Amino acid sequence: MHRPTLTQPTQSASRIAQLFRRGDHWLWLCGGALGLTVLLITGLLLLVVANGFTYFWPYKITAVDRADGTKLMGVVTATQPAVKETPAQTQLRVGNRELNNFDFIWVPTVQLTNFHQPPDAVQIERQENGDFIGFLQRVEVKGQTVASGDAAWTKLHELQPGARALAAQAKAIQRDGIGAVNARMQRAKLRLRSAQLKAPTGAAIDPLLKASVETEVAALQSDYDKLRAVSGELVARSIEAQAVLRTIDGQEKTIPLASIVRAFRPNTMSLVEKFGHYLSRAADFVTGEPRESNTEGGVFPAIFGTVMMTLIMSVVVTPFGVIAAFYLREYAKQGLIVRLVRIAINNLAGVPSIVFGVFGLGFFVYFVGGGIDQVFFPERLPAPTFGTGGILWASLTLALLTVPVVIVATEESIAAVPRGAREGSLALGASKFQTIFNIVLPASVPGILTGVILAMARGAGEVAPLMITGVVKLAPELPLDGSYPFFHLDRKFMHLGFHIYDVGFQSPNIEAAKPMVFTTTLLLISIVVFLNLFAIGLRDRIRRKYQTGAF
Amino acid sequence: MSDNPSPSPSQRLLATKAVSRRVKLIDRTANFVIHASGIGIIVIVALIFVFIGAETLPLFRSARQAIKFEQRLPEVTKATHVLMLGVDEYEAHVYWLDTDAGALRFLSTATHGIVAQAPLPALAGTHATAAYRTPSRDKLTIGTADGRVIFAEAKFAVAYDAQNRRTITPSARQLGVVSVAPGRAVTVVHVRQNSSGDWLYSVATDDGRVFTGKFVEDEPFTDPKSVGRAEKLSGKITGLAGDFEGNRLFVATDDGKLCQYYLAENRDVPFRIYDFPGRVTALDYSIGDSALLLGLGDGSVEAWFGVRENETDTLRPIHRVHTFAKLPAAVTWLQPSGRDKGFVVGAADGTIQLDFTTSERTMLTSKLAAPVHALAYSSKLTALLALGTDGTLRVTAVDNPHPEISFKTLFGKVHYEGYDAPEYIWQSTGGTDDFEAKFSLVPLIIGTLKGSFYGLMFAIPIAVLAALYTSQFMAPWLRSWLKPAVEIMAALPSVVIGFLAGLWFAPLLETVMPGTLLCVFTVPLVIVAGTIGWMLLPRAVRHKVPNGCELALILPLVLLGAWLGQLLGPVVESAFFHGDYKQWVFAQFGQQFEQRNSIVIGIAMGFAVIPLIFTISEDAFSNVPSSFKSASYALGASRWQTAWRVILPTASPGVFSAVMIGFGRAVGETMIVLMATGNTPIMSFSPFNGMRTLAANIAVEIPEAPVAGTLYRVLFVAALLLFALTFICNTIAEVIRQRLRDKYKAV
Repeated sequence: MHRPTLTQPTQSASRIAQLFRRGDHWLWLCGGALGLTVLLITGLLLLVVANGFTYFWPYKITAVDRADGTKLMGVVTATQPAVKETPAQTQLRVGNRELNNFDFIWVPTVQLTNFHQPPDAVQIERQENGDFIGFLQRVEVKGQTVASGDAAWTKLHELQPGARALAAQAKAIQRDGIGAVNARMQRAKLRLRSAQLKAPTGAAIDPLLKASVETEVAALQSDYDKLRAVSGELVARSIEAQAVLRTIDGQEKTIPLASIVRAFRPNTMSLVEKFGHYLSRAADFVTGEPRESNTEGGVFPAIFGTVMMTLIMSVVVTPFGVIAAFYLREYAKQGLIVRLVRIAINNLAGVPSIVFGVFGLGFFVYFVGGGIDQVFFPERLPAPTFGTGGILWASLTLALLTVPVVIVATEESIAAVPRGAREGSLALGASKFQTIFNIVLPASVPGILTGVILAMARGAGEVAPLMITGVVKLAPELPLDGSYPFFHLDRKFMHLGFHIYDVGFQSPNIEAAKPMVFTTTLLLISIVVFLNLFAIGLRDRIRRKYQTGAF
Repeated sequence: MSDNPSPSPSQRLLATKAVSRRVKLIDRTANFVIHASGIGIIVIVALIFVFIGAETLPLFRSARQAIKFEQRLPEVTKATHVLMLGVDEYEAHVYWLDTDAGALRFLSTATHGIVAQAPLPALAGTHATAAYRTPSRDKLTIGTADGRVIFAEAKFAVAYDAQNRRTITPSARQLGVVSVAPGRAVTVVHVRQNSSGDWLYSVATDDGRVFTGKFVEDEPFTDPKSVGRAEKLSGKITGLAGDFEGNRLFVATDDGKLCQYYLAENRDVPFRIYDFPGRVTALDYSIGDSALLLGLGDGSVEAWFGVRENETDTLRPIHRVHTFAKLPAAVTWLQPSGRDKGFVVGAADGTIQLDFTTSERTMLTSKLAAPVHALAYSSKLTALLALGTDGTLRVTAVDNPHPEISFKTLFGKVHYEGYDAPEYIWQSTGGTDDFEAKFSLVPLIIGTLKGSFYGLMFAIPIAVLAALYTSQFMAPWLRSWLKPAVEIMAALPSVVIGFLAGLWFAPLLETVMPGTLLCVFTVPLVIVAGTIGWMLLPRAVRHKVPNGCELALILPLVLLGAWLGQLLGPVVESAFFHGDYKQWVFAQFGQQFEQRNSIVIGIAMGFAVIPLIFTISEDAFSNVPSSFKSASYALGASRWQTAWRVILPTASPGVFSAVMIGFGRAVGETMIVLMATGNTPIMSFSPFNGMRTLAANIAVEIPEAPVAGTLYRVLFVAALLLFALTFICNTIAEVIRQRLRDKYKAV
């Protein structure tokens, strides 16, 4: 397009006058608005990426002397320039939470001297109480020193896997073995309770049943005791090997090797080792169990819960959304009603998610779930089975929330199927359903897929309705596991989005948890953005494919 | 088929028929299933609205009542001799005291016969003349004809047998006797127990004197002190009400006076005297001893609160705050509930009415055949007892789940107890037993609108101008990259935005607030300056940047403007705000600066809303027929003139609908508000403090709300409001958009 220019400007003054007359400065201001938007998005993504990716990196440990004669050792995490009366400050992550009662400390920079990085400084990632930063003194087994000095470092790495394995074994027995026994015991007791409920009031229950349940419970109790003894012994053996460490200010601390997740000396690590360490921690983050009320360890249950919930949601939402779209496009009589329904569905997409949550809680959880409990699980009442938040109810709520997305996308793709293909099929004598099933549906599969993926992305990122229909801070068991009936639709679950909210806003030590929240955020954003990009790509491909045919 | 290679034509026809029949069947089934499912989906959508609405309905329903039984009280010669009526918490026994018998009598509600009589030793040789039962517990105070006051309690021992059946054994225990006015008969008694279980009683005698005192179980009693001067009050004393601190006392007399005493200040002279031409015929404190309930001779029922006249006052004269439906005849009995702010009144024509103080609602009415003589209300609030002067007792089962909610308590100003004026307050839970939940949705609605307002303030200019630029001035290849990027921005989970806003942006903004606000001026100025600078460059240089790619030049200008703003921020702060903007805000507006304030919300919410408004308005701009643009250019208009004078006005309904949809999103946004504000329900539009929105309020409170309780249902009202609000916004937007589309089609 041409800029309509009336005069040829010769002087700068007249050029500027012309600029204002033509309104080019407004045009640039519009561009500025767009520029700001672009900067905001990129800024946000960069912020999350920068903070999220650095969480696993082993930073060097710095030791410093303070003006009052004490010493500090830790990772320098931030510095702040002097602002007005407050002097410049340095933030150190000193770890050793159980000794200091804090992880981070802000110190005026002028008070710090003698910055150095001791090569033998050890950082230990522990099962509890966060990181330990200090020096390794010796390794003991059953109270006897087996190695000290430099040998201790190799000994620690030699003994640690064994101790960890024992602890893991003990934990497995506690969780799986004892858990299974408990579940069976519970079921036996419920059988008795159920018989009691079925019997006419006042009548005694069958003594045979009672006796059989009682013997079963007794047998299970002895199993339970045995497993307890075994796991107790394993725990005792696992903590035989211990590392004795010293903090920079001379306090000694004994840590059982079994509770050491990782021990490393960041000041002497090579770049390759650092990358290895980084990858191993990242893998742990994705596959590991949370520790310290979610502020450390992995987020595997949250990833699992998110994926599982999203999948159940898709399974529900796809058929309903697709059938509704076909109804609106192919079956319903086009008229005022369909127009109204379409407005209603578009509107449904704009209804706040919390409203769906409220509906899910009232309808699915209390009304439907409460009803199921009354009919199928009366022996467990008043403890609710389905009458409380769970993965099924959360998924159904989200399915309702995302059904407009699928309907709109499917309708769009049905409309894009060339008229010729449809008419050709009908002309060959195919029935309406045959045409739809064999011609229209296959052609609109990519469009349906786009809708479902968009719905999944929306579902994966939604938190508010889940908070009240079944997501919890910490779910002890996954919704899918090895115990009967394997697929536990009534269980509560963890979710990445809720994890962010919970750890970032409800945990007692927010400062220490923040880096991890950034990492979780990065993970969630990656999932959502990936799903969206996939859907957008798919949509563009369909549009290009049918561009010629449809119009 | 293989063993029959050549089927005859008739056979073939048959086979074809079978196939076509099957096809038809499938077709018809599919037809049915798809129709049913399609309609089902629509029904489900409607169900959401209906279900949420239905959950709120019980809030506005009256109480339900069902008469359980009606019978004459056995062994009562004259109903007017009954001094007090009570019921145990299991609603298994009705008990009463009459002047003729020296014992409490217990009537079983199951067998309708007297099951126990519990004589009170102190009544031997005299007879009771007045009695009072505390509303919440079965604590009794009985005045006698010889001027003594007896303290007693009715007890109900519960035992379970082998079959898990419950038996309740009633009994009574006399706890102590205090001699008040030897030789005079007691006419009125009133008592309250304080938190440590001490009894604070007030007594009137037949010679018109009033005494108050404190009775502590198992301790020697202290002498009661008289109230008022030696000379008696004019008129006969008809009612007494004292509080649980033993400080405030009200005395009603039959000549239409109500005297208010602050006993700790002045025992002799009333603090205030109020005139009631209609005479006070019944009075008592409602639970919490803050609202004084009055029943008058003309049938009026009123609640009066102590209200401070000045901020510094410690003594509060009472004012009429609530009035209730008027009874047809004089009020004869007023019975406060022991659990909430409700009460029952009975009238001389037999009318019984259940009212609720805060909401001023009349929950139910019924009528006895004879004038009401006495009333009782069970502590679970599920049984109502009424005794007529003809001796007939009526026991009514009451279901009254949500008396505290009315349209006015949800949306209007309400004068709550302990406040000096009517206010809008949301406060759903409190620490103490007699705490009254306050369910005004107005602060939440204000908070919702406030959050959306600041969000849209930030989002609308940016999103609309950016959309205008993208659709009108941008190179198509750049546009095809940028639109998906903005769509991704729309897909960012709000929990992420909330987290960054609350934990990263809010603390950061606090340190650079003046500079950031300055950016509103510096960024546009720098851009305009940049435009001028660009124009002054030689044409050859300018032509190197193709039309539609100015963005590359603008981006650095935006950054430069932001940097300049931050640079000037501290300068401006020290020049205009005395070096500390927070103190300046405090001095200027008298309010504390909160870190998680509305500016943070505005920007974070803007993040969520910008992509929506951007996408929809971009569509609206792009859909303006290109002939409009061509005509404008042909007439010599510049690019900006065309965009501003032709494209924008034509597409303005589309922009409006974009804004409506953006508003709908902002109204319902939950996580951002939850994480980036302090969530305090306040009535303020200031940008320097936070808010609590309807959506965040639901998320915070519904997990703790008992199912089908009042809070639960009020939160459903909030959800319904949100639903309705967004539905209206979106429908308007959708209708406008469709009309716009039709208009373009016609062009």
